[in-house]
Amino acid sequence: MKDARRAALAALVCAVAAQGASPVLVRGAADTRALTILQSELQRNFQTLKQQPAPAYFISYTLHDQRSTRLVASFGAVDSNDESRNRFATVEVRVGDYDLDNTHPIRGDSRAMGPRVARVALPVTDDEQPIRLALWRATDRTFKQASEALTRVKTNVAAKVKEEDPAPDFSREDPQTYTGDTASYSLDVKAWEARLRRVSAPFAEDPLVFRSNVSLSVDSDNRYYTNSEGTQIVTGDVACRLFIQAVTKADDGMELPLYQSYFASSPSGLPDEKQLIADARSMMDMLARLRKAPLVDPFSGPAILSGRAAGVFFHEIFGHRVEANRQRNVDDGQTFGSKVGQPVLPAFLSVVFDPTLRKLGNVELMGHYLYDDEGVKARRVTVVDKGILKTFLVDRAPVKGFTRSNGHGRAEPGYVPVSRQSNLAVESSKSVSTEKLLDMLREEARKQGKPFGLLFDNIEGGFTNTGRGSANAFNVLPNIVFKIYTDPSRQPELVRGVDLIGTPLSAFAKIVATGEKVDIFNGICGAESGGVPVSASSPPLLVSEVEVQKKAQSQEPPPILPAPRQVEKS
Amino acid sequence: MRTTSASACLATLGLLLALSPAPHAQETPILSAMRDEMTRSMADLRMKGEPAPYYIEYEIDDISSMRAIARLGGVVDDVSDHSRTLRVQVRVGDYQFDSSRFVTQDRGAAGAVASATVPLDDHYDAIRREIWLATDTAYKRAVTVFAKKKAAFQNRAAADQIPRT
Repeated sequence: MKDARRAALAALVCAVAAQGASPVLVRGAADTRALTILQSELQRNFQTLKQQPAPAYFISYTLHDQRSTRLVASFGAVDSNDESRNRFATVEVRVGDYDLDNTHPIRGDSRAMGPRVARVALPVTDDEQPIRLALWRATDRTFKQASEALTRVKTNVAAKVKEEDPAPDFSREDPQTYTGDTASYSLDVKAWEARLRRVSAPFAEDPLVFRSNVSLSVDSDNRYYTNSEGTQIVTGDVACRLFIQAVTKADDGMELPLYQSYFASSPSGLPDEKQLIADARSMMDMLARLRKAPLVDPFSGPAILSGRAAGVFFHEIFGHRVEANRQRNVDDGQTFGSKVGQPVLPAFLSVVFDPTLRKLGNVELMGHYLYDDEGVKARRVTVVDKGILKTFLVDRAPVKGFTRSNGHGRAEPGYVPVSRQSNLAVESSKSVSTEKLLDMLREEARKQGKPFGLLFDNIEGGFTNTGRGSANAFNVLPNIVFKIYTDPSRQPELVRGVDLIGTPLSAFAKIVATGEKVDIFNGICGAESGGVPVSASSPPLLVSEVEVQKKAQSQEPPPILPAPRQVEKS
Repeated sequence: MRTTSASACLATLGLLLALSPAPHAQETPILSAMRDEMTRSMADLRMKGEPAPYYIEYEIDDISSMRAIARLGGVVDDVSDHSRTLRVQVRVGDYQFDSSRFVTQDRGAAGAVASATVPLDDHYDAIRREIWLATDTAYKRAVTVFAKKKAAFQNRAAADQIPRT
């Protein structure tokens, strides 16, 4: 569905490695042979295609050279061991001119195809002829599609009402040249398999943990970008991700998942095996507690969102609504379309997006990059300053009033870049201690005549809908929730079975205060341009009113027979 | 070019066989795990008021494959893969009329077959754990499908009566 844009931040994708057999990061001088081949083929095509009756005015080639290793173990045994190496290019051709080109949104036709790039497999070696051949064919195909699309665009512009926001289709940017080091890794697979067996083994002790695994993914991506405006960029990154997951079931059939993820770009930032096993053990304890935890009924009242939960809350309800491409689409909710210069959040809050930030404290941030996927230099963007909306996250598709990209055009390799989030950070000038925040929560509950408020301690992810076709709502999916009673002598009570829901504008208006300790959520955000790595960091938030609804629940009962090992022991 | 080597361990066991002791010596952990879980399931896997399985079949395929593709003198793809998959079939009813051969369009009742990925390590406990869960899923499906099949055949028998004159 084109207009029901669901964008999800999945917790499922972060990572680590431990000391000892940590992946070794190798940085080499840039290998520019691939870039030279790309440039010469690009120029050859561009010189001809710009002379055509419907001329191409822009071509870009991006080559990704990727290698990945993925190891998975569960209950003490290795499940899979996959290794892959591939190289491919994406080709973008624009026909028309900067003001009106083939990517212009088609109005009133829900089936209209969005702009596309061609993705083509390339040899893994620098063999010039087969690479040029693949690029030439992909360029020709993309050019023909773009010419056809431009005809449809021109007809649509003539046939529909005058547009509210006649911003140009493509921004003019200064050409960039950057040659970073290419990256590769070497991994002691045997040692890592042994480590994953040991970290995954404890879960076998709990017969009620039905699914569990520990996985390590190490990916290197060397990216070569060039376009007809003269930009040439080479970057290399390695991402190591370790992920522990375990799922149990309550007696009523409700699945209770917990996830723990670690991310690092080099061995020094990763927890050791002892830490990983300790984390696995504490997940097991929490799963056992969750199985016994009572259900919460749908409720509206005050709540505290922990730093991680608040980060995802902001990513979903705020971040996706300041992506500029949504302001261009007439089917989009455009929550903030005309609110620049106006207050959109409480005055004690600022929101920045900073892809140049590698780390926050000791934690590496997944949303770090130097150049975006349109070859624009990354920069820190203050979107909200003391409650006032200043700008949007802009890619090279301008919106009214913002004619230049601010380095947020991003895509999963193979998709068309659009404006997406990077490292989101919520900054507050009204922070109070954790104790004080809990007191304020109790006070707010008393004022509303509620016996308790909720504390959302951890979350697995969330999603939102920014289209007009259905409710402009968000869901945040918590997996650890406590009831905080107004009577301070009552201990917080672990509960289960609810999701946090709401609508954006009313949710922002109800943020009352923030805590002090900033926490970070690293994850992969999925939307129209594929999955991109992002982070969201925030202090805990006190919200005077949230609503929770019942979680979707499996009707499958737990297994009939007990787990095999239990039988043997008895 | 594509080469595939697959070794399949196939274990089927009827009610009568389940009673006779199976040889233990020199069995691989895969076969031991299959046999032990099958014996236990045949004996104990039962939902209250529902028929017990009369037939269980396990198949584990250990598959290694590698593929290389070249185009115009350049290697464009080079993939190798190793996996072990488990397929479990559970039947309830009897040889005359059972839970198989009945197609329903209901979600989650896609035949009484369950599949899973099992560890590449010859790890008895971890493999048996996957077999346990897949057998449970397959049995629950079989019971559900069997009830629907019985209901459908009751109606069909009545509707298909050809009047004799």
